[in-house]
Amino acid sequence: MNSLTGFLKRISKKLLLTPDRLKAISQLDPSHIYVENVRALFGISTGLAKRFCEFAVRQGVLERRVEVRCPDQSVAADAPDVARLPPTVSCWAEENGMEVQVTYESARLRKSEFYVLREGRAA
Amino acid sequence: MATLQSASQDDVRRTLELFPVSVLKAGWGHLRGTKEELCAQIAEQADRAGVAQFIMQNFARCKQHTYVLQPRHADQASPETLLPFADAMGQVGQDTFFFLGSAVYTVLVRDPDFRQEDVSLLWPMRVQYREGATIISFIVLERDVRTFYTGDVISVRRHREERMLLEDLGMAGYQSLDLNKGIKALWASDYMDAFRSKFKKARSTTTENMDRERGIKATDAALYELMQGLPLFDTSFRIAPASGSPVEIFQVNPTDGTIRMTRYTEGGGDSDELVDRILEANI
Repeated sequence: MNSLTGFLKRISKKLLLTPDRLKAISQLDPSHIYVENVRALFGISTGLAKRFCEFAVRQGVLERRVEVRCPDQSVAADAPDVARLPPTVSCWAEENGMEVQVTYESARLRKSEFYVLREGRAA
Repeated sequence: MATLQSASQDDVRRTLELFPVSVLKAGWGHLRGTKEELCAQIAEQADRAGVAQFIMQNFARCKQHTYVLQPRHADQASPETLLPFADAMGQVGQDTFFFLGSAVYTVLVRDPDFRQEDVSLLWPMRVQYREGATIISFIVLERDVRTFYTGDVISVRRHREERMLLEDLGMAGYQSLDLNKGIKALWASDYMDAFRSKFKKARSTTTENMDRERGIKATDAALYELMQGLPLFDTSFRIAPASGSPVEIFQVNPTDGTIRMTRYTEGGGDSDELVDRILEANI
């Protein structure tokens, strides 16, 4: 059982941890866990899934990070928080039938939060 | 309503052309002609208060971009204060407000000498306060300002785009509402199926465009199941005809809370029915 599974078992008896869900949790990529991954897995609201993830951050199980997305939704960079994102990022765009790199201000691009499983965390 | 009262007949005509012809005929049944002729007659004959009422009643029949945001907090500036260039047009009930702004374009024309001038189109918008969301909608301005000129139009630059307004709202603390739950619930119930989608895996963003616009759920069960657990970005859905929805096709970015109606609605209904359905399923 990985530490995320153990944590979820500890914090909520309301989460019905069926064998399928346990398997799904273990298959989450520990380097990128999105709120929507957790929401869909447990069939709960986005707000509740977010609270679970934030509780896991406070418990030291997960670490929160933020990524900045290019207009085509590809991720250009990520950092522990918005303040530490690079001021500009480079994104691919099509101009006159060619793929070119365009520089954007990070402040003007969409951001998404995600979570990383902290290494060596005991279940 | 000062903007509408002081607008030229041409400005009013162009605004009316944003609406489907069936709705124009229903509003002014005694008039005859093509859509362009109808709009010109209405702009000439109708009083501006009547035009405002028509715009408010039929807003959701138009092509529009809708942004679904988190509910407004008491200490947050109302979206209206972030639309200083837009004039209040009216309201319905206590929670739906209509505005008329201007989309300004700077045009460089060679006719035969070069000249630069600004041209503006009236831009209807709406703000709705719901218990679980704040919804801001903009009617899509399709009119190509190049058609206003007989000379060569060298360049057109639009000021004040939706993207800029959304950035201002973001800086005022408004965050988009995640619609993944609602969209996936409607998808699971076979109310609709997706035929194009971008979605986020752990380390990549994937695009799937189904051949011949076939539905993902109907055609590729494994792909559909995979997508149910992932954040969705720009996705195009076709609503099942049997549902009787006035919307046939729409685009949605559930992760960023944006919904795009790129076609007029069919029959007597409007796109608010679809937005209501998404929000109810999103709880």
